[in-house]
Amino acid sequence: MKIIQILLLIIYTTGFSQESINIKGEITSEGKPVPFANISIENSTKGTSADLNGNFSLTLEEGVYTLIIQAVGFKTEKKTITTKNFLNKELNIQLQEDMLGLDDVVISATRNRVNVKKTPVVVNVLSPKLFNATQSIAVAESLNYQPGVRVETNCQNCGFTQVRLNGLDGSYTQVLINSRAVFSALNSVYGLEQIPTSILDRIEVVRSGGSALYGSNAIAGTVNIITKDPILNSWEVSSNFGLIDGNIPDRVLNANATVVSEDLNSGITVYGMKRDRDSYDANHDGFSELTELTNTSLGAKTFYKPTDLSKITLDVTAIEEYRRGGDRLDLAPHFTDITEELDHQTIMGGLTYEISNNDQTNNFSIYSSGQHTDRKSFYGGLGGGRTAQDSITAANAYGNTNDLALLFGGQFTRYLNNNDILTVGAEYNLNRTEDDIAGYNRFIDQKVNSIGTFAQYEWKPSEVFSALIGTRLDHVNIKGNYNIQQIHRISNIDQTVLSPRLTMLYNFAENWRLRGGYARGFRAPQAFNEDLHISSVGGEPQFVILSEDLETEYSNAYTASLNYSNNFKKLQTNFLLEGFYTDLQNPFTTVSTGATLPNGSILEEVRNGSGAYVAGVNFEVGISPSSKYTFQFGGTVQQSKYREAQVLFETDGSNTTESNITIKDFVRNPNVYGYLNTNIRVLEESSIDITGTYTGEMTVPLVVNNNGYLRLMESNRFYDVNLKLNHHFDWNENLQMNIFAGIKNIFNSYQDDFDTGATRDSDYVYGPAQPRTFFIGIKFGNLHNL
Amino acid sequence: MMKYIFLFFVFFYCGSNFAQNKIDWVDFDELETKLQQKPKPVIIYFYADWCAYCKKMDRYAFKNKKVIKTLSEDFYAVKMNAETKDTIIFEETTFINDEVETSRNPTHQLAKLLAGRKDQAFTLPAIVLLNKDFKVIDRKFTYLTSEKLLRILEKLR
Repeated sequence: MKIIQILLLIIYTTGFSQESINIKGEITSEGKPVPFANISIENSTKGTSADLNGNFSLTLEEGVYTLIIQAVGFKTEKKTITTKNFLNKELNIQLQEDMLGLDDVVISATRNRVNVKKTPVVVNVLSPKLFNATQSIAVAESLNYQPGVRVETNCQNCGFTQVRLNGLDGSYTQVLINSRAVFSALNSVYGLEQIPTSILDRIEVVRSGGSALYGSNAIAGTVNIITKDPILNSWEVSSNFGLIDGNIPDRVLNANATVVSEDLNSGITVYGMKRDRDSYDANHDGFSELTELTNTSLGAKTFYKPTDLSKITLDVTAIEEYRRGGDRLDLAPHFTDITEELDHQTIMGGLTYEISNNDQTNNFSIYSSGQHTDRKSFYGGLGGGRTAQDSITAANAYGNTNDLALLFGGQFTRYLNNNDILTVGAEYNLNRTEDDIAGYNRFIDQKVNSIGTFAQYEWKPSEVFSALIGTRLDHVNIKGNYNIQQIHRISNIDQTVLSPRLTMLYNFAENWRLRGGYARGFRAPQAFNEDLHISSVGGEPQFVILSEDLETEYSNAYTASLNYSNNFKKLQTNFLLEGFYTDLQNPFTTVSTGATLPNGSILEEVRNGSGAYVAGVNFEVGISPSSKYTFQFGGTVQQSKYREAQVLFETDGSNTTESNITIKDFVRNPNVYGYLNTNIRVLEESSIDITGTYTGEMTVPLVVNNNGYLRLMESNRFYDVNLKLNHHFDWNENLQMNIFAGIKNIFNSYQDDFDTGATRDSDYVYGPAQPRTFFIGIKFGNLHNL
Repeated sequence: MMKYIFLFFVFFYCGSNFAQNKIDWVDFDELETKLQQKPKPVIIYFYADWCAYCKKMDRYAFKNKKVIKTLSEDFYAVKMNAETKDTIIFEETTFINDEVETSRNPTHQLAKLLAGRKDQAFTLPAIVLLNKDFKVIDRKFTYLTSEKLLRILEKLR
């Protein structure tokens, strides 16, 4: 019995036709039969398939037809026939082999949804694999591992961190959550430390503002934090215990669970994290270098699809975070010399509705999101003094902050027939920040309304060239009231700015991509992250205020990059070289005016600088011989300079021994920095991760007396290397376990010249975030489903 | 009350005794013999370890009682890892995985043959339905719920 007669197409019953003719034939290539080729009739649904020996038969009504013959690995053949010619004759068709076609199948068969990066913009993706390898608990820790990105800690007392992209500080970077700008001015101070990595699918980093879809303040780039979008029911519980410098405990517990219905039309993920870290004092002066930190996050993300072509997504997250640094952390803050204590209650959420037409060429989405933070702060202390005035000042350092951010927007994307893509959209953003510390007579009330509209056209005139042409029009309205003691500043800005963007991609040879881009951006004068932070310097609080007549800052960013990626059998290689040049006009720079406030507090003013630029090269090399070994390293060599010597400290002339301090280079920014990321799977179930960062020398200002006078210090180089061992236990389909242990900062490459005592400069902190830290942990759940 | 509990257990016991609670997957070797003994329609299901939608089908569609019943009564069901490194001999033809040395996700020849599409990526899950003469009736390259799978199977029964 002949059982093989595999016919690959649906057998089409043609009904009762009067003159149907049965055509028989064979499909071959270079004399050999081609099995299982598809034979279809142009402009009809009729067709058949050849069998294993290349033979086929096809019943057609009399007439003229164009046959399309397709087979995996062969070039598609078209043949027009007249049925009556084949009444007694076989229809023999020859196919030509198509090696590239086969390759296509192979590449696309990998699990990557995006087979090759075809976007005109270079997107760096940080995956959960990297979060694991670096044992990153919060987003901030994982961002270091790509070129051009550096996360730095700015404060010993409160652990305030910021992300520098291409050397520009945090305020030049736009942070998005699921592509939405929900991060407010306040969130950017501590927000990156508050989001647990366990809920993330990936983080996408775009250096330089390449796309018009990103906000106008995305001058240095965009960090897009994307949360998981699961398919399977899963759960996971993990715990990590670290010992900072061998004795300070850092405990983390994470849990998350997901349920998705069988039809994939609805689902929910809930997640929670608890972190409890003790404070760490590196130089045993009684003042903390790392804050005491407790953090509890709880959130849920849910989706529902009313139809196959529409989707509603709702997410909510609540974060409760407490951090305290300084001395004598067991006493009430106002009895200590220095305390920075912050208690955040943040709730944020978003709602999105997406709908598309039947052939998914028109996609429309509307979204809204909101964020509210209630912050109780204490920035102050006795500052080493014990007078009645010191006590009064300390007792009045308690403050309250209220922060609200709302976002409403809509976006329409149309995929045109010629593969071009048109995107248009509009967004309304409201951010209100009220920061009140009555005791210092410090009050900030800032309301920023902005409306942005954007249009972008992705033009693909040929297979090898594409371009993103876009522009955004932003209208910003700022009403700000800034007070510190006797100084009152008002900001009343109403301005409209057009920011064009252009990027191009040219595939000049197979596996090679050349990209170039230009982006214009701006920042309107407003209080941003660091301006809401009060540091403790020389035993005095140090305030930041916007100067009078502060003008909008503009930027022009140019990038060019060359990318090569190729797979040689199982060996995967990737190479990127990217040059960047960003010119800043009227850059906001912070100038210390010394202890000019009546009670001796130090005041820093945000002023327009004379102009500045950052220019340099990012590189990245990735080699992976097989899925068992991954090796990746990259780095940045750059310059960041003011056009004219920039004043950092301005004297009022009262002290003859102190003169103005100026500098040409940006402070706190090394000219060379890089990272390393190695993953080795020794056995099927065990792996070793070696990751690390290098930070080159940089200039860091140190406040040396209670006038706020500065000295410029040169930092050492740092090699922060982490080792992690992981072992996986696969018990059954529903339960697996990972145990892991390792050391962060093996060589204990850590700052060794912290300022000491009650009058220390708490901002004098640089280099790796932690000294040598041992950690051990366990994770269990149905991990294969995540 | 006790009577109901008793009845419940009786039904439960009977139920579990008569209905099969999992699909009796066969491989290509067994399929050849079985088809010679008694022709039946065939469903071939291709999956891979990394395919989340496949896992979802393993847990729902292929655990559904009605699907199990239909498949065990009226079909031969073949489940094949599309990335297997095994050599499969079917109808005197040898099929190997010719991508083992060249690709990280090597697709087996037999999988490419039955579930490959010209000018389209090889995607999983892939389901191939054949009638009792072993002619391909339908192919599905998408995630299927129990309901959708049953509807497809009904057409062939």
